[in-house]
Amino acid sequence: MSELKQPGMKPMAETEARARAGAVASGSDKPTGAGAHVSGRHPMEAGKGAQLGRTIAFVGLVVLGVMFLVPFAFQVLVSLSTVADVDLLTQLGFPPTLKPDNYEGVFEQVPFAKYYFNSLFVAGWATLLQVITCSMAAYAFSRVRWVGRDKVFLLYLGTLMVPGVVLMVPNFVIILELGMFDDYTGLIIPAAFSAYGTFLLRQFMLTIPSSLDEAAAIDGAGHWRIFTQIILPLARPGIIVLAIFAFLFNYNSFFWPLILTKSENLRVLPVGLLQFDSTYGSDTPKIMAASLMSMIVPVILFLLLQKYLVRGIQLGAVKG
Amino acid sequence: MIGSGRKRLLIALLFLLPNLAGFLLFTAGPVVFSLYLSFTDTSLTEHNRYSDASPRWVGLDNYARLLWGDESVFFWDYFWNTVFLMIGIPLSIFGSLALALLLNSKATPAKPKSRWLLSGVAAAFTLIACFGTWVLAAPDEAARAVMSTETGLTDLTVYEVQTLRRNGLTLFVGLVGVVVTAGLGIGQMFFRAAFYLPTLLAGVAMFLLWKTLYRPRGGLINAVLDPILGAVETMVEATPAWLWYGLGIATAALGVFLSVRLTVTGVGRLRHGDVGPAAFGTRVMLTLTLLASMVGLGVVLAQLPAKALLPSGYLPLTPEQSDRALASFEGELGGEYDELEFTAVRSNFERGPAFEDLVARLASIKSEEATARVQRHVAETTRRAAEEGVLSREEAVASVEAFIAEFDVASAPASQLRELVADPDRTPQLRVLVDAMSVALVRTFGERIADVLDPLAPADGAAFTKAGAGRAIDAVAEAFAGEFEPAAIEAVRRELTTVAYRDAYSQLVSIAGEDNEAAVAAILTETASRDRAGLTAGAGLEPPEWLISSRWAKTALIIMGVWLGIGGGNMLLYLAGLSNIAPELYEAAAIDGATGWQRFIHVTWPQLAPTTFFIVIMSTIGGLQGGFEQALVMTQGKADTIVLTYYLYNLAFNGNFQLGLASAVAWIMFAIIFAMTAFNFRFGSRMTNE
Repeated sequence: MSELKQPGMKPMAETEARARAGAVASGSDKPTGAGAHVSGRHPMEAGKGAQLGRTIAFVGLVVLGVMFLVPFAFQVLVSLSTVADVDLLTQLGFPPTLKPDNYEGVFEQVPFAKYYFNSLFVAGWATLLQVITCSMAAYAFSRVRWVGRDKVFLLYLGTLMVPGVVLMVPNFVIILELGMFDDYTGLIIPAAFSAYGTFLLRQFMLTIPSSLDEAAAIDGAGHWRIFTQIILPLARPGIIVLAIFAFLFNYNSFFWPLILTKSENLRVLPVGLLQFDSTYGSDTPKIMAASLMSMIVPVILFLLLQKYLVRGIQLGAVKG
Repeated sequence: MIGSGRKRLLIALLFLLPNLAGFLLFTAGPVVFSLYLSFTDTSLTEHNRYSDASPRWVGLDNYARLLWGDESVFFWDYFWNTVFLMIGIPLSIFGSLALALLLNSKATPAKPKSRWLLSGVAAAFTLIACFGTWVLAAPDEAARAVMSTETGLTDLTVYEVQTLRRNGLTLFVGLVGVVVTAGLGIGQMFFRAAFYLPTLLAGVAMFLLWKTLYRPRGGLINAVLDPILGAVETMVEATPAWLWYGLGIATAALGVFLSVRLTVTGVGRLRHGDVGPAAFGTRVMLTLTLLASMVGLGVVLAQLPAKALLPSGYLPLTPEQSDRALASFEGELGGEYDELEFTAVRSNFERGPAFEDLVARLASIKSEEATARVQRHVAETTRRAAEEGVLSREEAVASVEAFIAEFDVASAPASQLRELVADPDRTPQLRVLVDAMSVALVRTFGERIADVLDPLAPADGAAFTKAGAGRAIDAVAEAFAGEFEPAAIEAVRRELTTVAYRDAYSQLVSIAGEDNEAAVAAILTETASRDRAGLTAGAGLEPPEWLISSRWAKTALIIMGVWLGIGGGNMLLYLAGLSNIAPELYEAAAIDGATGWQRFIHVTWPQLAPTTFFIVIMSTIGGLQGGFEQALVMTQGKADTIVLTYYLYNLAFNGNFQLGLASAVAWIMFAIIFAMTAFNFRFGSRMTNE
């Protein structure tokens, strides 16, 4: 939590500080950054007014939180209904017959386990390769001084501005020519490189003090040792950020697998779900069950690595 | 640094090699390749490894075709669709800012002790509230045997319906309680995670969920909208129309007044040099947004009476009205539609119910009343409550005979009743007896109705015409004067003798073509509104059919986009931006006596300008390329939802593989993105520096 730039407490007007007596952040007592006080109250009229403002803000948060969660609750209820009861669900508020075997049915009607495996397999490999290639390139851009480094880096930066749609058509042709069409390699290899990831890790590595690798160099360490034993461990937070981004992006990726795969046993979850919807579109409960199951992995990942993800978004973007 | 210059270059290249190779092959190279493709007529169906033909260099032909040639109709249509969808971007950005401010307002307790205490209290309270809901909303035991009469729920008893609603309500109370408990216990992080969840999951699975939410029937969104629109409608109906006109005009006038004031003060400040031209530009844009939204709201308010009372939804057209509508349709659009289909629609409009259906429908009005009468009768004759229990056979026979005599039950149902109570294998149960008597009463009533209807029925067993059914219902109402609830018989009349306005509309549009949509609407509205004094409830404000209707599908995508994106990366960026604002600024503002709003306008908003700038640029770039997955999953491109990326997909991958033309689309998009970004930089970086 302390990593999250949780705005710490900063005594502003004395009265206000007293009003918030119970609100001193425990995990983050560093006095950086006070929050914006926009609840519309005057600092001098603290006390009850401030408490009221906070209560109203809390109620607002709860209302919004419920609004963001209710669709998922609805999804769970639909996934437990029978087809006939779906239309009645909003009238009744609860399915007349709970039917948990919708979840089983998904696996019977389509090779859902195969879709799941494909998604994890492709996203996993793409993430691993991307982390390797990007961290090596970032090392070359941040730790080694060489002729033309800045020019090449500028080229990398320049392509960040090229919209993804421009790359779709030529990449399709290239994959076709390389014989990677309708194959795992066609899904994994193009995702194994990323200008954005290189940029992100370079920014991270630049924050590592150069005295560390200089000291190692004096001790006789070569570049490979400095890279693997000093820079990589210190850049771990950045690498985790990149890994989450890469994994989530490839797990959710839809356009590319859609145009690049034809055979059923290569379908990843998003493509499989779309196919499922167009074939069994009227079986809403099973579709909700399938989509709910495909959401589990990102949610678990997010709950485990939330602080890295949040920091990554804030860091990568603000500095960009 | 280790090594000489050349050695360092070698090492760097070794480190860079894997990434650089991929970068050149899949990023830098394709950019050049794509540009080349866009100047050729490359098409995979003609130029592939199985054919000798090689693509021709066509120069700027592809661009010309898209911008003003044979493809321009599609291109511009899809371009404007894309622009329309981008309306969601400012909404989403302001929403993200609002969420970030809310998260940052220290609304959750920070001290661990008070956190645990409060969340413990909340957890206990949640349990109590759930239990309370469970008890208070308990179903009515007495309604176990009563069938529900609500639309669509007639298979369930009232007791079952109430049980399910109790379950749903308890679940909702529990959800709210969990949010409160977790919010107090975990604090800001919990809400941040909840807001971020949609962005995290944005993808096909999420779009499928929203497709379900948007179902016109059985979807969550219309289930929420329905009662709201119903309340608005009742309010509008209960109040004089001039009130709404006045309110609309007042809102629009207020909007104009505020805009003028904002502009005048802005011009004043510009003249005094308080603000620069760029900030003035922002002010003008905000003012225009305010003006547009308030005038828009005014127009909506002023139109409410007309909308709520006019046949915009399921309002029925009487047989005469549908006749008239068909006649003017034929007169005004004659020759533009398929004659055969029109004949089918006409017979569709005219065909009424079959004889048996009409009898059954009229008799069924009586069923509820019959049950009540039977229960009264049984209670009187047996001196017992008519729900549970067993009668002696003598009691049962006596009760049945008294019943037959009292209600003049027709012979066939009467003999069935007698058989039932005489059957030695069955114990006469009160509940069964009541049900059987109710059926007998309804059937008796049905026979009497059939007697009245018989002379009016069409010969040789054909169905009634709608007009004929209307006359038949009139005859029944007259013959049974005082025995029917007027409202109930009116409902049957409306159901069996009318064409729903919306059905008429969609059927006529389907044969006249979408080009004539407006003409059809005009004909129907005029036909119906001539008699609208005679038409009452059931009309008016209907929730839209979201993804099915061309008018609403894009709005549906926008709403979903805002919900998905509002708590995502932009909110996190704003949170980071907020925590970077130096507290001294707020202290200084506080000493100057600034109010909350002034602090926001003079400290928070300017300090966040770089963040906003970054977000605006990234969102416009993303927005122009977005919308493909949503449209493919949710509407399959129907209902006028095709965006530029979808167009590119259709051109390049969905069938005809015109890679050259598709590349040209991509490069036009690139040019637009580049121009917008350059404009933003020129205009925005000045704004952020002021």
